Amino acid sequence: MRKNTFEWFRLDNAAKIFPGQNSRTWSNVFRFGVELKEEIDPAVLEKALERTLKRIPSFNVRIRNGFFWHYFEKNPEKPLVCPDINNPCYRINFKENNGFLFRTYYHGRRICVDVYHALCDGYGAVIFVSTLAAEYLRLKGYSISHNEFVLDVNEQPKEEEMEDAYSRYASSRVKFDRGDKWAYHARGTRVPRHTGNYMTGIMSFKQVHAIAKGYGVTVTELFTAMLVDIHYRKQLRENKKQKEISVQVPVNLRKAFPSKTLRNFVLCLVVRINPNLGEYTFEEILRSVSLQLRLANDPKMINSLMTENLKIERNPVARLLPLPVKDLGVGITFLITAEQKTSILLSNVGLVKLPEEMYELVEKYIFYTGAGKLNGARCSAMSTGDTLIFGFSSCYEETDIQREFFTRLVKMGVHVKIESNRD
Amino acid sequence: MSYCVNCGVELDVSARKCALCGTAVYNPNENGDKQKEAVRPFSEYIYLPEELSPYGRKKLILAIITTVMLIPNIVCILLNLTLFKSHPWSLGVISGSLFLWSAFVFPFVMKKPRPYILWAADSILACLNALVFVWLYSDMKLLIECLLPIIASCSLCVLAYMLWYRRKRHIILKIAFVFLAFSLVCLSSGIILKLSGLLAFGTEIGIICFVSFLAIACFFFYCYSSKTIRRWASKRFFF
Repeated sequence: MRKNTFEWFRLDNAAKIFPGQNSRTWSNVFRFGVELKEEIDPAVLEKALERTLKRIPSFNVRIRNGFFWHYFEKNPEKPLVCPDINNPCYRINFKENNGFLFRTYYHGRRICVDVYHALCDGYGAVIFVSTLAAEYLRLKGYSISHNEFVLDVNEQPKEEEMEDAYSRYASSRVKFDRGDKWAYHARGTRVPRHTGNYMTGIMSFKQVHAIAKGYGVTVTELFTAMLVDIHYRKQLRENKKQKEISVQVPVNLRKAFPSKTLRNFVLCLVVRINPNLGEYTFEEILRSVSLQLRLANDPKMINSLMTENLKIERNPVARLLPLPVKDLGVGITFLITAEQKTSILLSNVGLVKLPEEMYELVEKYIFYTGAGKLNGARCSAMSTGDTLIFGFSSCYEETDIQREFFTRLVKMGVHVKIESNRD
Repeated sequence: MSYCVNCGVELDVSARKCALCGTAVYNPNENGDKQKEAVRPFSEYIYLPEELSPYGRKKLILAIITTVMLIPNIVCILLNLTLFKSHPWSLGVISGSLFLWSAFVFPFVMKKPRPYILWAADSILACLNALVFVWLYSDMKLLIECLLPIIASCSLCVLAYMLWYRRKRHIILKIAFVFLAFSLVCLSSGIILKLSGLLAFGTEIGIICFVSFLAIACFFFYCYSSKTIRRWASKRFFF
């Protein structure tokens, strides 16, 4: 590996927008965690974290301000391990937490990591958390092998894991029209600043998969359609001017473009339903969502979207603007567009395959996207073995969307267990 | 193992109520102590991070704006001292810039905006600005008879509005009072201009403006008092 990729490196294309979005009260942070079958020893966890950071140096960084761009620099400080808190994913401040852009917590049998999105996407975070948990278990005396999700900490970090894969694969000549419109937001009473309403439904993957299969769709498509349907009916009940309901579905680009990067390599597809076109049944919504997702999830379409994003970064005028101006521009654009144009976010990491020995030692995974600024539902899903977890993060007190979603699943015959930070 | 009788979902052993519907957990077969002992899925400790000062980024923007405003002043002073030495005209530019800075930049310099300080600063700088212009281009009689009374009447109206605004008011009422304040400023300015001899039809023009603004204010007062009109307006003009 070249020396400078380790000492300092540029933010990837997607990461560039996150520092600009940062405010005093909100940052784009998400939480991954593992629940083991035994109590966590913080001293061992600290040791495991240090060893994991040596293997995954893209996490062992602090963010610095250049004149034109932010950049990551190797962090000489020691990472902190703290007891868990009730309000995960609160804002990131670059000067706190010894400069690290992730926070590690332990609580009972859980190890949780709040990750700033500029560091990595969900896939990268899963690998980091799985490697951390495996290393913790190894230090506790268990023998754990390696696989795609659990890296060998004794190996040297690879350059391909640190690459900005967007610039490698973006090559389309077609201009992509996003066609965003103002979307509906299910609003309610705001929770106090720096807190959120976090809830997880734990269910059997096989049961949900069987239902999705019955409809002829994937699990992501089923969940997306359910969320759209709930929002659609909620908006109808509100009896106001009907706005579009749009769902942002991040897609892991590693499936379409062969990259092993542990940094951001994800793009958001948008699925929309316009209630002004007429009345929809759940089956119609499901069909529309499924078709839209399958149509948009085309490598060529994704490439054009990726190229469009990269074009902004490579624009000579944009490049010459000083960093504060860029950040201000990103911040204002984020306020005007971003969440204003999406009703729901659904991030499905998919199936995480662990080494065989780990299944006996791991109870389940935890995944939450941070609570948004406007969205009533920012959802996260992932599965390990037969356990599927579906998380809701909301900035509102009301839980009507969550209740509707989980009770629908119960009515479909799925056994759901609920965990929340507010019960 | 507890289930919510309302939603049908399983709840955590430590749960005191259903997170979805708020139904309290009551399990007669289980000991209450067991529920207390169970490790809750989330820690109960809420960490509230230190409130960050909004001043950080703002300070830089304000410094840029102030520098941009400072450049023409410096250029004017230099020109006044070297090329166009006839009279100290650059003082006019400086006082004008100072007034603009106090009106549009100074509120953001303060960590917590204090309206009465801003009001006082704006009024004093407006008077100072008038004083400089009158000293540069006219006689002091105009200042005493016309400009100062107009500025005083304007600031009195603003002060009255600020005092009234201290309590939470309906948006329509706020708009109505803005127009009412405008009408009073127009009337007083018209009378002052007539008395100073600057405008022959000062009072008449002042009365016309006063009546027009008063009519608009009355319309808004009526909208505020009539629910039917408010409903109609919200339907017609919503955006």
